[in-house]
Parts: sequence; C-alpha cells; structure tokens
Amino acid sequence: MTVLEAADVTFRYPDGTQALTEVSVGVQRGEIVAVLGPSGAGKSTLFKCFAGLERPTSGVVRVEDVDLAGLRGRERRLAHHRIGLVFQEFHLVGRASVLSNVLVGRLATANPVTSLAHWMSRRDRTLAVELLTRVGLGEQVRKRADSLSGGQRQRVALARALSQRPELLLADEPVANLDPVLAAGVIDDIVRMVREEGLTAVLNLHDVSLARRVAQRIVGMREGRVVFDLPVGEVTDALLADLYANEGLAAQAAEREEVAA
Amino acid sequence: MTATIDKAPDPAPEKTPRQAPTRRDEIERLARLRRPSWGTIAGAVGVVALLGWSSTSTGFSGPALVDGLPHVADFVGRMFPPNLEELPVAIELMFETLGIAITGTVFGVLLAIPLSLLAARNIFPQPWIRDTTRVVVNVFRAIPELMWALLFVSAVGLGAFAGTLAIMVGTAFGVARLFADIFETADMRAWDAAAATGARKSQRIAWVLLPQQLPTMASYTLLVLDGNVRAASLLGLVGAGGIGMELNQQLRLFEYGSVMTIVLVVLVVVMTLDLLSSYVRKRFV
Repeated sequence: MTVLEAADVTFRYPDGTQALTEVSVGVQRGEIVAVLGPSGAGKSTLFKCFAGLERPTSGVVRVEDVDLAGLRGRERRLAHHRIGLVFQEFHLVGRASVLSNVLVGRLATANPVTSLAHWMSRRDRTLAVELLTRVGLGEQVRKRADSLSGGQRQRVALARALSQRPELLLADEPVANLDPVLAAGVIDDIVRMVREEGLTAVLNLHDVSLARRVAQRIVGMREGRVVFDLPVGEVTDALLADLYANEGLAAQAAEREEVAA
Repeated sequence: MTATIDKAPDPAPEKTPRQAPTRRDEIERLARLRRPSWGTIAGAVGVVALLGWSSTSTGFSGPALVDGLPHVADFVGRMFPPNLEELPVAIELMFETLGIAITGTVFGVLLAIPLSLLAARNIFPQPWIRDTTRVVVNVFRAIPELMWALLFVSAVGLGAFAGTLAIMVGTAFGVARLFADIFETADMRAWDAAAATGARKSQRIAWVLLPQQLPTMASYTLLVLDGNVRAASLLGLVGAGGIGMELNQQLRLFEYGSVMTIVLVVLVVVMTLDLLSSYVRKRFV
C-alpha cells in the first residue's frame, strides 16, 4: 500500500525560483527511501511539500490518501500528527527539558486545557521516557536539551517525532550538522527505530555511503527533477557520479540564488 | 581572486590612476578637512535653535542657578541630622511601598502576557489583531502612573489599593510592548516543529514560546520592578499609599530631619533592589 504519493509536484518560490519540476514519487508501507542529490537539488523543498509545510504550486502530495493542502483546523492538525519530522538543526526548545521536548509530540492528542499547565497523562509520559530510553537517552530525561551534544539532540528530536506515533517519518538532512562518526550512529538509530516501529521513512541525505547502507531505495535528484528512482542494488557508481557531476558549480549556483533571495 | 582575473588580461597603463592615492597631492586632498554639507549645517542650526527655545521657555538661566546654590546648601544642611524617631514609620511605610510595587508588578505582568501575545506578529499574523492591540497598548502606555493613581484614588479611595492598581495598569501596558518585542525576536524553529506535530497555538505558547523566552521576560520584569518601587514611592503625593504620603506630609511640616530619614530609607531599598536584580539577572541569562 502506498503511504506517500507525490504526483507531478512542481514548486516555485514567490521570487520565481523553480525548486521542483514535475516530481513524482511513491513510497510503499514499510519502505525506507533515501533522497540524494547535490545541494540546490530541491530535496528540502520536496521534504516541505511531503510534510505539508509548503503547498505545491501544482501537482498533489497524498499521505495515506489524504492531501494535507485541502485540510483546515482540527483535521489538518491531526493529519500533521500522523507525520513525524526530523530537521537538520533539531528544532528543539533548548531551555526546556529533554522530556518536555519529547512530550511536545503528544500535544495534538492531549487534553487542550490541562496540557497548557504542562500536565500530561501518565501514558504520554511513559511513552516519552520509553522512547528516550530506546534511543539511549534514559539518563538525560531531566536534563536541559541545550546541555546535550549534537548527536544526542537529534535523538531527542527523533524521540519527539516517534512520540507522535506517526505512520510516516520524514527527515531533512538529519545528520548534516554532525561529524561523520556521530552521523552514522544517529542514522543507524533512526533506521533501527523506524524498523522497530514498523514505519515508513523518507530521509534526505547528502552522504552517498550512508544512503546506500540504510535505504532500500534511492531517489536521485538534480535541479528539481528526479534523475533516477531505483532499488539500492541498482544504483551504480556511474549514476551517482553523474548525479554529483559539477557539484561545485551547482553549489555555487545555489549559493548565488540564496544570496539573491 | 576576482581582482587577479580582472587585471590579468589588461595590465594597460590607464589602469594605474586607480592607485592614484599614492600621489602626494591626492593624499593631501583626501586628508584635507571637508566643509560640512549644507544639510549638516542646517541640522546643527536646528538643534541649537531647539535648545534655545526649550531653555528660554523653562526659564533656564545660569546665574539663577549659581545664585540658588546657597539655598540648596541650606536646604540640605537643614536635613541633618536625620530624625531617627521617624525611622520606624519610614520602614513600615517602605514595606507598604514594596508591597504596592511587587503586587502591582506581578499582576501587571500577568495582564501583559496575553496583550503582548496578541501584539506579536509571529504569534498572531493577522494584521488587524496586532495593529489594534498595538494601538491600544501605545495609547494607554503614554499615560503616566501618577495619572492612573489619581484615577484609582477617585475610584477606590485613598490608600495603597489605589496605588497598587495604578502600578498594575501602568506595568501591564508598558510590559506588554516589551514582551511583544521579545516574542517577535524569538527563534521560531521549535515553534514551527511543534506546529508540524499538530500542537495547537495555545499549546505551542505554553510549551515552546514561554519556556524559550522566560529568562528574558524575568530579567525585564525585575527591571520593571525596580522602576515600580521608585514610582510607588511617589504615588503618595496623590494619596495612593506608600511612603510618598509621609514624605509629602513631613515636607509640608518643614520637618527636614524626618524627610532625610525617609529619603535615606528609599535610597537604601532602591539601591539594594538594584544590586539584587542585577545579580539575579546575570544568573538568569
């Protein structure tokens, strides 16, 4: 069954930059898909469209047959709740405790009044602590999030996403801010938890070897288009070399675009 | 790197004048004092004119000040020695003053939080909410505490309750503006992430925005408390309780020794509070 489906997604930023051109991707239940490509390829924009954070200029994104763009209010919030997100820069509340950061993932279904006083049900708290223990942060539950290392922070963010009990986990460059040794550990934890929870995952990565190690399928993107979409065994070095050819130039172009924007 | 690329194909002699500042007269031209522009001159004349107008309209005069100096010395002289019999009264009233300031600040800040949320663009992006709140806040913020005190004295009668209400309302509008600005500079990434989990706006305020901004808010609140103790010391002038009432009375009785005692008590308390709050603020942020 298809959990995530993007059909002919085109995205143009208000300044006219065309970030995505007719991207079509389908992800089956239980699949782990890596999206690879040089910077400026449109991976992050695609992540935002998948997550319902941006609305495609044309085309449609459906998660479990629901188009987030068509929802409002409560339905929209609950649809968001079904998708767990992990960001490159963690996006945690630094001054709040690790536990409190994870409990944020339970808010959508918590009592809307009592939760304002940070009162969460026993079940929610137990789930949060259990997830933290499973990502190796059992000792850090009461510590402030900003006292943790980068790798630990990303695990907190992972626990927050998983505490939503999502169907789909999306990660945008989850380890780009970490050094390579830590990065591998965090990616392994993400994939292990995704398997244990029986989730479907789409990971934006820039590191080819990480992608090959953890993904079942790799989607190669370049200049806003899908260049290839193949099982990991069929992704050859030649394809990858082609994907990243002239990356220096592409990166410079992306930088110029950023400066212009 | 760009410079080398630019130069490489064309090392022609006409490029050299660009390095002209090496020439003596060019250096001297650049080093010469420049005549100020007409705009600068007009601005300077304007400032002098404004100062002239404002000082004549207030009867500001150097000789009068110099002539008055002996009177100042006389006034201060009569304040010594301070009347220690006044001390217990002064201390008791100082506690009342502190009570007015603290109660007023706490309730004022509690009122300010919802106002400031409504006035923060990143929390309520709808322009009509933000603009309406900002206009209301700015209008009421312009009313000095003494005016509020007069209003509340006529509403609830003489005494500390009127003073507390005056401090509370003054703080609410003043702090609302401060907090709104604090919220608008908040890092919204965790906020957006919480929104993407499906959390409501009220929940995001309680779980993301306030925890992030609490230290800054607390630090400003201490600063405001400082100011409110000063303000509360003066509220007695209009009968709104606190030490100011006693100060006013002793001044009218020409009991300068007692006045001195009162002034010293206020001084000690304000300075202690100042030290305390700057210490706490350093620890907080």
